[in-house]
Amino acid sequence: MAHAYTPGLKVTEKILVKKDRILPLKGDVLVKVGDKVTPDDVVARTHLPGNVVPLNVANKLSLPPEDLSEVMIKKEGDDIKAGEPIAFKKGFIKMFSSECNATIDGTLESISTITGQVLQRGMPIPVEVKAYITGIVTEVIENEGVVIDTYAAFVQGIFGIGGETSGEIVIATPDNKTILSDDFITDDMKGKVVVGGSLVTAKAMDKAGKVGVKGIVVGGFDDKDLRDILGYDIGVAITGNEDIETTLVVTEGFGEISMAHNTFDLLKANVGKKACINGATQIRAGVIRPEVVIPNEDISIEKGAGAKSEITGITIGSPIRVIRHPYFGRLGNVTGLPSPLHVLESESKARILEVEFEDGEKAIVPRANVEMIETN
Amino acid sequence: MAKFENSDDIKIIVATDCGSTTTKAILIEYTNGEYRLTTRGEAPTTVEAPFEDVTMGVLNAVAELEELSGRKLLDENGKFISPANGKDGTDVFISTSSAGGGLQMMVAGVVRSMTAESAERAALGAGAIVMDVIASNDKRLPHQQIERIRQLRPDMILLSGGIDGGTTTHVVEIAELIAAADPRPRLGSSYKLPVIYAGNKDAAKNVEDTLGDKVDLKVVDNLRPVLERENLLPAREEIHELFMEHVMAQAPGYKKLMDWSDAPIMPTPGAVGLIIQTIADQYGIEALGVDIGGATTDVFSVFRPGGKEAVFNRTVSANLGMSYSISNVFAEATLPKVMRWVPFKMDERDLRNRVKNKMIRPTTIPQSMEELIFEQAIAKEALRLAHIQHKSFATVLKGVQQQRTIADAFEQSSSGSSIVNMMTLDMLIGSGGVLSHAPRRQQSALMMIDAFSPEGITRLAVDSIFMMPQLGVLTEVQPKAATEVFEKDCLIHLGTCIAPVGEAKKAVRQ
Repeated sequence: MAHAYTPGLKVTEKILVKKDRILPLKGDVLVKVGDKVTPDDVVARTHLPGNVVPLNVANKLSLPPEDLSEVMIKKEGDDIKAGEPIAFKKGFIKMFSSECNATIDGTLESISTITGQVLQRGMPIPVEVKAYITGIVTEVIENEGVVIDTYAAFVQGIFGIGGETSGEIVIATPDNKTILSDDFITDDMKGKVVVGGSLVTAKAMDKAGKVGVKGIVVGGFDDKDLRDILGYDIGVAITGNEDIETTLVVTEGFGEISMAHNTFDLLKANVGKKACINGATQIRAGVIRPEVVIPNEDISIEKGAGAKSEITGITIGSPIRVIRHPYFGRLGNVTGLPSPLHVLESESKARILEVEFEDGEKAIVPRANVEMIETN
Repeated sequence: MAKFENSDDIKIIVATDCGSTTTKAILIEYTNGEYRLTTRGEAPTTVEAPFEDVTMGVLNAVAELEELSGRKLLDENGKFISPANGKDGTDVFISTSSAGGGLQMMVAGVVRSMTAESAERAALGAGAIVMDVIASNDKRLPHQQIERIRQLRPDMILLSGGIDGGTTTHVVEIAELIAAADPRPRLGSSYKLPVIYAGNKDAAKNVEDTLGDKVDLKVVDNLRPVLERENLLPAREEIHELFMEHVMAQAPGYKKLMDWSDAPIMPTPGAVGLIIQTIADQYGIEALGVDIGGATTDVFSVFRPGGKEAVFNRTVSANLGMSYSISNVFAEATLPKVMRWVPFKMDERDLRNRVKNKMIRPTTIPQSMEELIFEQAIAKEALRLAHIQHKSFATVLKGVQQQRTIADAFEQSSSGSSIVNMMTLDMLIGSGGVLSHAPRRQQSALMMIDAFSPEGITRLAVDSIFMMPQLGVLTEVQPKAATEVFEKDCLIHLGTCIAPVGEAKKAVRQ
């Protein structure tokens, strides 16, 4: 049977989710294999080397660089405190003596008799990695971090902003089509992950931030609102570090687009459960999509479970979503996969598929312009 | 693989280009007294998980060549049959690569517009993406520079600074900043970061003392030995050497690919630059090539300022592209500039959402005519902006004292003026999906004319299937085959643009 493979976004009731929680530099792992962890537990910790602040001591003391070692009070590797003298130049009389003080707390990294420069290294910066999801530690990578496994309902988004957070799921709109406006955001949503329909407005995002909503999951978002919220235009889709109160996960795309039924229904079925969400998106090699992970309350891991389902690709009958105009956002089922190239209205030649939309309308769409709705 | 003492004995060539998403293979055969492209095949690149072995994609693409050409290229162990024997095998196999992000470099120099810019030119010419340029006068404080060096995880650093015999202090200061940052290489932490020093030779010892223990330091000739002259070749060759030794060797499967290959694997843009230089040299012309991709747009040029020696330049506009970076093109060009190429009205809010949707789903294609026209309008702006960046980078050397005669007094050309002269340009070559695969060839021609505004008489061409990278590396092995295939199979001549330039006479009412 003819088939094509266009990867889609995963929406599934139960899947084994594995999360690598790795430090940026080697450090200490604080948990062991078999430990149960919750999103806010710190699993690994390290210290980044402090910032380096150069100080040209030779210039400050009006010395040639090669004479620097003669005036240094502190040596390489010594601890220093801001304001404390690190070099002293003796004058003929006391009045003409001069000294040079450290500008930060830390250690003296190096003394250069070529440039006259002294490098001061600031205090180490502590870095902690949290578990992010509720689960069980299944692997410890020595001095680097851990792997956490959990069974969870899982929704992959298409675009998001904001970092990792977690909260109880609440459904704000009556269905998957209704726009999530500020009227739907209430004070009792503080600390929650709020699910909306086809769009979230800028006003709703603003109110959510003020109320203390942890995250919003919604079908679409307007580019203009995105620019207004961030204060700048996103040029390339690499996000996750935005300084915003509420993490946003968009499941369908930009504009007003109803959230896919199965996504909305899955989230609705999990109301009251804790969702771990992340808006980080990277659409480049090594793609990262935003996600909603809803760990099962029973977090024991079955042995041998979680085998990957076979990727079958798009075949006749596969549920798909069109991802480009003129049918953008519409859902349907594949009815034909003709092999020959087809001339599109744009006069480009491309491989196409035939689709029947939910309302019975039929259309021809380039295969590059659809994605499979993956449910396994 | 077979080695040939006489390159004319090479009759069958297989060449691949391992891109970020697709590995493209071509088969060139010597038939009826000429080298011609006979077959092409492609397969998804397999450098990332779950495959993590680039050779799988190469073998798949070569298997497609076998299927289409009927020539058996691989033996039962999946190795190339070489040399060619009748209907089997190939005489040489060569490859380029930009998979896994290509070659990513940081460069540093003393003065931003002088040695740092020369270092940037050397890195770009070698096919690198320049992540940042650190200079003593780049207006950042030393701790900010150190922080930046630490954040970036380049594949290598090129450090230059000072002319031979000049002051050594400034370049050693930069070396100290690099040492303090203790930068880590992008791929793997099992080896030291390669740093090439191509600055004042008198400072080489001090730089070695400062950096020697922390990085893998290579010292080459100064790339700016005197203010009036650049000497980029030693630095470029060292970059290629280290690219093979460190970057490629770390990428999954590349060791095997390097073993198979009869010539060093070259970064894709480096190879494109090579073929453009070869063609410009061979025909004695001035040429400008552009490759517009999904994330970046590369511009290559060979000009002969003042009719003298040919000067090659390459620029990469990192965030001007047709899918991953389309939103950035739209933001930089602004809506009115894009819409001037669209002959109908479109709603702004809807347009902005469409652009963002292309960004998040980069592999989609325009189905309707309206979408095609809009996408080509954005392409024109991406090309225009990339051309502006190229013009401002491809300049005569800055900081050089110029001797002026009284005749020059009225022509206020300054040091650092652009050498890109559209009036003397002979050939404009376009490449990349939006240009190579436009449904009508005149659309490609129009995109290039509107974006580059050629002046005088300029031949326009597009690369039919983006095989310039493979032909670039082929120039190192069999230059005749490279130029023959380039002329006969690679280029599609679109026509000649004639654009008179001058002051128009005022109309006179009769």
